[in-house]
Amino acid sequence: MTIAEPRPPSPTSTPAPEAAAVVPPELTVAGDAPLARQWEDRPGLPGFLTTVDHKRIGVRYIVTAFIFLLVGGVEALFMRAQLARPGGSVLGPDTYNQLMTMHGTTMVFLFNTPVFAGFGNYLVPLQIGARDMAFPRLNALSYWIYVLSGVFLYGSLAMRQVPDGGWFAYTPLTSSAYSPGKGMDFWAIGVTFLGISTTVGAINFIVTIMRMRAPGMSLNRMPIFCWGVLSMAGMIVFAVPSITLAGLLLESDRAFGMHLFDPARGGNPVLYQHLFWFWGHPEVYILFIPATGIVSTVIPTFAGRRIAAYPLVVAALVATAFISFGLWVHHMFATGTPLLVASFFSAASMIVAIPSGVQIFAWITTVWLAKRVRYEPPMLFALGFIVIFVIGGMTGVMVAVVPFDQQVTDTYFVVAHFHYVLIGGTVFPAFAGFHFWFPKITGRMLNPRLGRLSFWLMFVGTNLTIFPMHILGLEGMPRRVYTYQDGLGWNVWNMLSSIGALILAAGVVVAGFDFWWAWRRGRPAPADPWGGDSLEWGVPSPPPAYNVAAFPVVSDLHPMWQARDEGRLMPAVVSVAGEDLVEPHGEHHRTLTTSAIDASSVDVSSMPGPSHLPLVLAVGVLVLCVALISRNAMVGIAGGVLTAVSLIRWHDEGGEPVE
Amino acid sequence: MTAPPETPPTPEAVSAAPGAPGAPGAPGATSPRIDLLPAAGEVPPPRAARSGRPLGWWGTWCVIATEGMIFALLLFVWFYLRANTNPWPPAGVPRPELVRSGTRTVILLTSSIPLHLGERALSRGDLRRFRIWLAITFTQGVLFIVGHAMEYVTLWPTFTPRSHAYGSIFYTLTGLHALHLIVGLGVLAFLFVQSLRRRYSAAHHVPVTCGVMYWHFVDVVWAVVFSSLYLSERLR
Repeated sequence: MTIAEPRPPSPTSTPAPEAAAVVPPELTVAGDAPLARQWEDRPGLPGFLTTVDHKRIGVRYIVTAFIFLLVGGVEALFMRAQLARPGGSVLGPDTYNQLMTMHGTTMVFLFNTPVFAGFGNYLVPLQIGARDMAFPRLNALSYWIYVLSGVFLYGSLAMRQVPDGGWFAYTPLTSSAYSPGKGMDFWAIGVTFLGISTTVGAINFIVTIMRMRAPGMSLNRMPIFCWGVLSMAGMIVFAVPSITLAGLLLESDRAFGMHLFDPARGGNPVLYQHLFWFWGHPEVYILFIPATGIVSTVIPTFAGRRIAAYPLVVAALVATAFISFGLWVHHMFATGTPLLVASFFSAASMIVAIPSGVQIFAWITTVWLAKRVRYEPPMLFALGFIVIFVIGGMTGVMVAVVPFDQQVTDTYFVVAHFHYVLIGGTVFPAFAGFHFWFPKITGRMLNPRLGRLSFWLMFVGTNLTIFPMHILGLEGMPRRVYTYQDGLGWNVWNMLSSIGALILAAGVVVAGFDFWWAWRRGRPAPADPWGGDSLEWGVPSPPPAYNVAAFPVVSDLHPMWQARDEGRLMPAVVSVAGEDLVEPHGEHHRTLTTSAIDASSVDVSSMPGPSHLPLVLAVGVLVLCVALISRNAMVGIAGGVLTAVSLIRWHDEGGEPVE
Repeated sequence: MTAPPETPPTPEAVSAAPGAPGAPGAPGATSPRIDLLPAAGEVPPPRAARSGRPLGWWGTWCVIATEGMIFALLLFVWFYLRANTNPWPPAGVPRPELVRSGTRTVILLTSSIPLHLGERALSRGDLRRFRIWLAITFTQGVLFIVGHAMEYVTLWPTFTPRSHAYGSIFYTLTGLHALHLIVGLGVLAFLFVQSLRRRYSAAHHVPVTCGVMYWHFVDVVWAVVFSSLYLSERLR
């Protein structure tokens, strides 16, 4: 591969795509202005630990998630190495089970969900023209809990008690009788712990999007990505309690000797599956919907035109969010569900393909009607997403048919289906997002040649890894096995799949190198390298700590394009009720809140600044988890006191000053 | 919890935008209190007004939705086990008694009334009455918890969470509700102390609004739990 010679940053080497918008001056102030000083974090470690800046938190989310992607990917490579040949001896059965469990847990809980939380954190306030999230400290808390729960789950490695009952942790396999040791305790407590992070993050998104949009940004002028995050957050609020409960009740059975899932004492193992999948199925769409939000942002930008059928795309997002709650039993057809129930869930599983189809046709139409399409790396990943996701979607309709599902349940066909959906539906959009917003986040341009190389490696690698699994599944290879016998006709397909995994990994490594190199040495990025339509492209790259000095007034779905086409600056609110927002007087962080539906009336609101409490509270909850796993009452009391004290301090500090 | 100020902005004259080239662009007559930069005559200016309920109110509703889901799912567990287990309840479990549990239920459900009156007193700026009503609700909550503990003491010799699935879900569901109520008592105590420190006023009391919403929610949950675990079990 060829690597572009690094050049010293200089404004003249900045690429100038057509109609690159300049930063509207009313959105920024000088670096030493009171507003800038008020919003900037303290330098060094104290600032790092106490920041509540949604941009720093968003970047942390994305970087941490990317690290977990690499970890989960290495786990997958080990499994593929073991399965490359029949009777492989790379891993023993126990190690294989542990890797399989941690691979699934890492990818779903620690990479996929958080990476979109990261994008949402970074982008939602910028796209809606707000200065921060509605509850900044809660935002920091949700990050700290995320990273600590990741540390907790991988702490099982240090204890040599790694979870090995599958990422779904079905009972009775995971009951204390069949999974002694602490491994599944780490899993059950860890996912419950992480659920706190996901839930408070979602609440923050809902309130931010509903109440802090720029004046004039009524719901029908909101960027599709924000619609995606809003739908995701709504689903999280109603779905995550179910995995929290599944984890808690499983742990109650294991640690306190309860019998909820123990048929010998009136419990029911199928009940666990209901609880798991009542979260698990919406979770697929919790991952997928913000991903489509990214695709719906990237495709119109590089097609240079509005997205086709914006209202239908938004309706499809919201409809998917609702329908996804009526699908969970299709994961359980093999448990012997009554015919009527199976028929209902089978039909619902086919219906959910309709809104997905609406979105796919909207993307195709957008590209179709474009005068000129720019095939930059973000666009390649978005188009690659469409191809892979359509294949995964089609096998999804196949397994929604009960007789077919009964035939392929627990075979590699199902593995192939959900890897197509998850890699195609979420990893490719995430990479489209990395490439699209990298210049905004870091102020540096990526190397497009490395981007293209990485895309083609990942695209070929994904298909070569996963497609043979369809055939293996149809030939009867069961999933979750650590090896297989020679002479079953599976050898070639397994070898191809393992080779594909290496190619896919190479693509991720190239991308990782590209990110690392560009972050340090990349050419400086202009405010708007791609000609984007939403407000984040109206502020410098990277954006200042306060995001916007004056609050833009929006009168179109594409405010940046409107300003460009009409050749004028964006109008912006500089003061409300005599309170100057650009040159503030007090110490409090101030921002605008607007009315929920039409964002027509505005109001000034205070928000808390940097605080150490989010980190302290997260550590307090971590100590409680450690107490649960070590069954140590003293540690539990310490954790409880730490948690309670920081909660009290939190609400005491957060109170509105009474004059 | 962050709390936006609730005072509606007072009308005043248009102030020139600082450093703005030219006059504030918005037609001053329609919205005298918002300055726009630069001149943007054709854009309808937003109104400066109370933009809605406080952010904390929105956040608390989301918390109630997700917590409500937890209880809804636990009730699903209850009914799922009840439908799939024979005999239900298992042998040796007495039928739930209604007199004492019913009395406790009445005590808890009525505790929302003084709390509501207290919030109204606070909106009038009457901190003293607010504290009195708060104390009454707090006492009712404590009475409920004490009754709850007494019931556990009575039931423990007959069955425990480790006896069978019925015991597991019975103690989990009622125990989780009791835990929520204890948190609610903590919230009330916090509000009481803060009101002694004069942290709330008629115009600024978003934490009180949120705490009161949470208490009402825990009350309503008990009504559903009582109906499912006691009344409906008795009426079978």
